[in-house]
Amino acid sequence: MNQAATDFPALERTLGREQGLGVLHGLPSSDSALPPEHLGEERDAWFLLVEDVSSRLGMLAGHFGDRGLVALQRRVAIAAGQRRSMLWFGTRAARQCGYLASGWRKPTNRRTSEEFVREREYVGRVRDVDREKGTFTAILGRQPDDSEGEFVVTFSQRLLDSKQIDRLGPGVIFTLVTGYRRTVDVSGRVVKTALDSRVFLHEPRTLTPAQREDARRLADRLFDNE
Amino acid sequence: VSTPPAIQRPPEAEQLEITLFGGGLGESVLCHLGDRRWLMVDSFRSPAGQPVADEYLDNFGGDHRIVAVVATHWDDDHTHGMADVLMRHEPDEVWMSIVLNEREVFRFAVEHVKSMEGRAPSGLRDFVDVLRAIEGRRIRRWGMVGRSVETGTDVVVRLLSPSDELVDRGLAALGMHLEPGFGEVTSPPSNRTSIVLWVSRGTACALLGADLEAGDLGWTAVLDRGSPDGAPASVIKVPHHGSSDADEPRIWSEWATPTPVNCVTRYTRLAQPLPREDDINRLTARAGPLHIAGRLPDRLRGESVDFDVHLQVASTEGVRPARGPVGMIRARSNENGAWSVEPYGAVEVAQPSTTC
Repeated sequence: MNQAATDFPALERTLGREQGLGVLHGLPSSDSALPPEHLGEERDAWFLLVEDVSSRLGMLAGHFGDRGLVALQRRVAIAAGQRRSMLWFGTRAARQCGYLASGWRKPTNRRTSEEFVREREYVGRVRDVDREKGTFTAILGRQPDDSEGEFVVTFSQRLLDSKQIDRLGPGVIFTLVTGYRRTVDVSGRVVKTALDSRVFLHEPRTLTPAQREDARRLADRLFDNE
Repeated sequence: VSTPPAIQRPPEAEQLEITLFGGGLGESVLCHLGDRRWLMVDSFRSPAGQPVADEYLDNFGGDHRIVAVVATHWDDDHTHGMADVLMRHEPDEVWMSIVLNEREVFRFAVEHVKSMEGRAPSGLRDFVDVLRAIEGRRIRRWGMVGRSVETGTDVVVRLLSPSDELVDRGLAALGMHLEPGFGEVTSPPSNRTSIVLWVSRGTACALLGADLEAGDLGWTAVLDRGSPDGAPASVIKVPHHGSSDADEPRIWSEWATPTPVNCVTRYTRLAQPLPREDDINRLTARAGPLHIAGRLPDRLRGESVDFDVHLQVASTEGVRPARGPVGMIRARSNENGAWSVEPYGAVEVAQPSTTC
């Protein structure tokens, strides 16, 4: 992936059936359709690459009917869709929670796949959990620091998978992403659209020893220097 | 707060004023101590984003100044904007519950806020912001029963809680988790660490009940010590939004005039906001009309709520914006200790039920 991302012109020149596939084969097996963190400003180039590859693969798959090629094209098309929805930007929790492995990109059949278009993103804090009713109540905000714009929402635990339900408890932070789930065929035509939203519990964050030392130094200063 | 001309009329130089502000998710009290000196008890922001105390005093123009601040406890509906007020007015005293006077509490607060990267409970963030705002100014005061605010006038402000019995419990009284990580730190147990105030000038007395709840460590401990002045209170800020768990009939039977000015703020974060119908009926039956500051949420007023359609994944009845229009109940005393009461904005006056 890194080679593809950082050597786009070379890839473009060599994107024939054989050489192109050889390079591209790293894409679906690289564990993630996310742009590498080190790319920085080159992320846009990476996304352009993904969209371009998706387009070219679609043509190749249609021409050759290669099953592996179809699967690869589907995978890349989803990555391109994620680019359009900006799903991954700012959704650290989604990455932390293994979002890619848990949901959106499962193909519905060989000719269609699902993509997600993000609408809004919220940050929430679980206030209480009612396991009998299968719900949890959370304080939700549109901006992480906008504590006064908060509101309270009760969710069904069906929004969570079993591992997340086990971790659910008062004080847990999560990201709520609301949006549309679309089913698209290999040509990119949308065949079905539905409202969809997902909750991603954040991993507990602990301070590093240095951060904790800084925090303690500040706290002690505030305590002593009244 | 809308600004009819009457609001802009400041109190007389020697006039005691008690003004309660409520915004659905916010409670604040201003007391005029005399000579344009004010005490602010708790804080929240108006929909315009300014601390309501500032917004109100700006109506008067001139050099009205908040000289003392009391943070009754650190639930976030009592703390927003407090640090801003401290920076602007540079008060002489800032009071907070003495149960916080532990190095571990400070460490916990700072570590928790840092580890949650801006997503810590907002009351806790406000606590750290306030500590930063007053650092090095030697104005921090630890509140507990028996201590008094330095008013600089003939208005007396006494602290009636937290009680000795509660203070003896130390950190356990806070109900705080002391391991950094996740937890709702500003959880309900902080209510019982609340600072209750008795404000008096001559025979005009007011009881500001904060969010103190009933029980041996709460109102029972306060009331068992006897009335601070021997005189009854004629203004009562009903504790904890009129909830049943803060209800203490002895407040009215032992410490209040027969028909005091009763006022309370709404709390709209709950599915059934406080005070509830039962609470209102109970309080009005006991002590007459009840002034309620803050408006019911739109969902309970039959009005549509502008909201993300995608959140229909959630229970719609659970969706409730936190901040609403501000209601203001202003009580000013005259020379005889009687009060004139002026409601402004989102205020409802509940009357005793006439049905038997």
